[in-house]
Amino acid sequence: MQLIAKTYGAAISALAAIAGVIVAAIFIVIVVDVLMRTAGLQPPSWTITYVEYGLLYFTMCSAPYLVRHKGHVVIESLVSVMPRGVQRFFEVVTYIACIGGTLIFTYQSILLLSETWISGRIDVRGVDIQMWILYFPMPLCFLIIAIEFARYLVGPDTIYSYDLTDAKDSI
Amino acid sequence: MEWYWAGALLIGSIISMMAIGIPVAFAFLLTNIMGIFVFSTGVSGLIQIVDNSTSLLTTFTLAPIPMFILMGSLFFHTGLAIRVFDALDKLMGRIRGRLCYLTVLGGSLFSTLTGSTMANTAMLGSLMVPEMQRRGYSPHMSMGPILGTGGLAMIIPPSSLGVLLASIANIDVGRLLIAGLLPGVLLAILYGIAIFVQTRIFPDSTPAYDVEPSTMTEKFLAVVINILPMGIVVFMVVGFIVLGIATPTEAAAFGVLGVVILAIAFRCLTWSSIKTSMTGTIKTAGMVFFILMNSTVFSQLLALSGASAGMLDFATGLEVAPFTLLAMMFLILLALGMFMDQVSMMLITVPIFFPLAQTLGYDLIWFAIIVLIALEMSLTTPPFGLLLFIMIGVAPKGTTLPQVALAAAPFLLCDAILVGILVGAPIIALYLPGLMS
Repeated sequence: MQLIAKTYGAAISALAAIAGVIVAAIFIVIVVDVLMRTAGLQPPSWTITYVEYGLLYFTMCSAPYLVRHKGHVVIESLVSVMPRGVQRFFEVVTYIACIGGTLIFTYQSILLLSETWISGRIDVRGVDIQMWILYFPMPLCFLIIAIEFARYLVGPDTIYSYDLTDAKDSI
Repeated sequence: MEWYWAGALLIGSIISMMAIGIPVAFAFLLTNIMGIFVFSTGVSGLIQIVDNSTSLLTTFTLAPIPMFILMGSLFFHTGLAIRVFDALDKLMGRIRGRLCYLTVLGGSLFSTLTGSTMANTAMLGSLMVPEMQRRGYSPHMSMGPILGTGGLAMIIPPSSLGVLLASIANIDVGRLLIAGLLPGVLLAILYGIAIFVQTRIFPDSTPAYDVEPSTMTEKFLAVVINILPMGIVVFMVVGFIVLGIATPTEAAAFGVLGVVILAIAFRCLTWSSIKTSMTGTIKTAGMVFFILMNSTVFSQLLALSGASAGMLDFATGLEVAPFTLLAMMFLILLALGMFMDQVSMMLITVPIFFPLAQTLGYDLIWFAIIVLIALEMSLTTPPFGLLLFIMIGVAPKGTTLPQVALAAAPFLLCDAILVGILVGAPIIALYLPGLMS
């Protein structure tokens, strides 16, 4: 059981690492594209498509890590002043609602993935690309998010800090 | 369903979910699911939510956001920011309230290198509050300038929130970023004036202290070694966009490159700083993008339910001057900001406010700058402005919310004055975008 938990945790970290690699790759691809253009060379035709798909993959790969490390913005101004019992009630409601919502997304993205895989639909962008690639990371990532909320539901940890002075990462 | 019930249901459910502590991104996701059942085809429409959630994210114009965040993170975590601050410190003479001026000057410069308000405030807070306390500055003079200046990053390019707003409102990212430059500089000057006035009214709040004098050579070297190279990076971002050499995405990537080269040159690019910066980028950009995933569907639901059109008809049907409607939109943003984060506020209001502004004949770039200022002000508006609480976190133990809010008040007044100036003279925001090729 411990091995499964460890492997699962490593998978979430690996997905976050992939998100980091995607950002670094977006940076390199854009710089190379501009430098090639400036040098009078023909830049790759796939730059924009790669960046666009990269942003989606980045979002999906970082999402489970964000849930595990409490990186999502939560408005705690109201719940932080509630009695502990009410806080716990809303916590449970939150976890169940989030599990339900993400499981719906998991199921629907599986449908989309299989439909685009079978139909062979093409996404017409800078370069044509198989449409299933767009939906490929969604089922797995949404499923992991649902599992993460389930961990909060049955485990001792909470996504809340109940501390309004705790500066969250934001823009 | 009448448009007002539809609007109340959609917006009300998001606000209710946020209020009970459902993470913002999931409040939008769940509202969209509920909205599909109420306003669309029910179960068969669910697949459409997932399909449409990819559409805004796979947009090239959003790419500057992770780049700007990475640039700002590298700037802070490699120690380049401290070098700039130390250099600016050398340039300051023995003037009353020098640390307040240093905060505004440093914060404005940081704003050109990081698009993050939170990062800017956290940096200034952790750097300046202890020093100001040590020098006997009163709480309102130590906290006020930081609260005001922290928000400048939202207006002065490169602003991550600006990129986001432009992408959601479907306006030109580059023009919006550049439009923020002159109002941002003007706001920094207004903050300087506010500090000057306060130091004259409350001379004891900023005690003068002896400063080790720097020679002209030291000052010159500080500028050439530490400030000028940063100026080149700023030019690589802002200048490239203005001159039409690069798109905002390309300029952002070159901004990252510039900071990396500088960090290598100053021998402060470590594996640890890269890892910390990358983790910060994953957390911040990932969080924002996950919220954004649901924004397209939410806008579509507002349109599909008739809420957007109904609100637009209602607002334009009111027999009031366009200025009154502008003031109402501004006040709504301030009110939402009292308990909501900036990204959520944009997702809820942009689908309604921007079509309304267009109908009223406002220039959308100018209007977006007004919205950004409102978003900035709302961060420091009591009772729940996010920056107020961040400041309590870094302020001396026992600092209360009213104290922090009072410290922010003169700077909020400066923001309000800037809005007044921009309403009277829109050219301040529109001059630079007009020069763009």
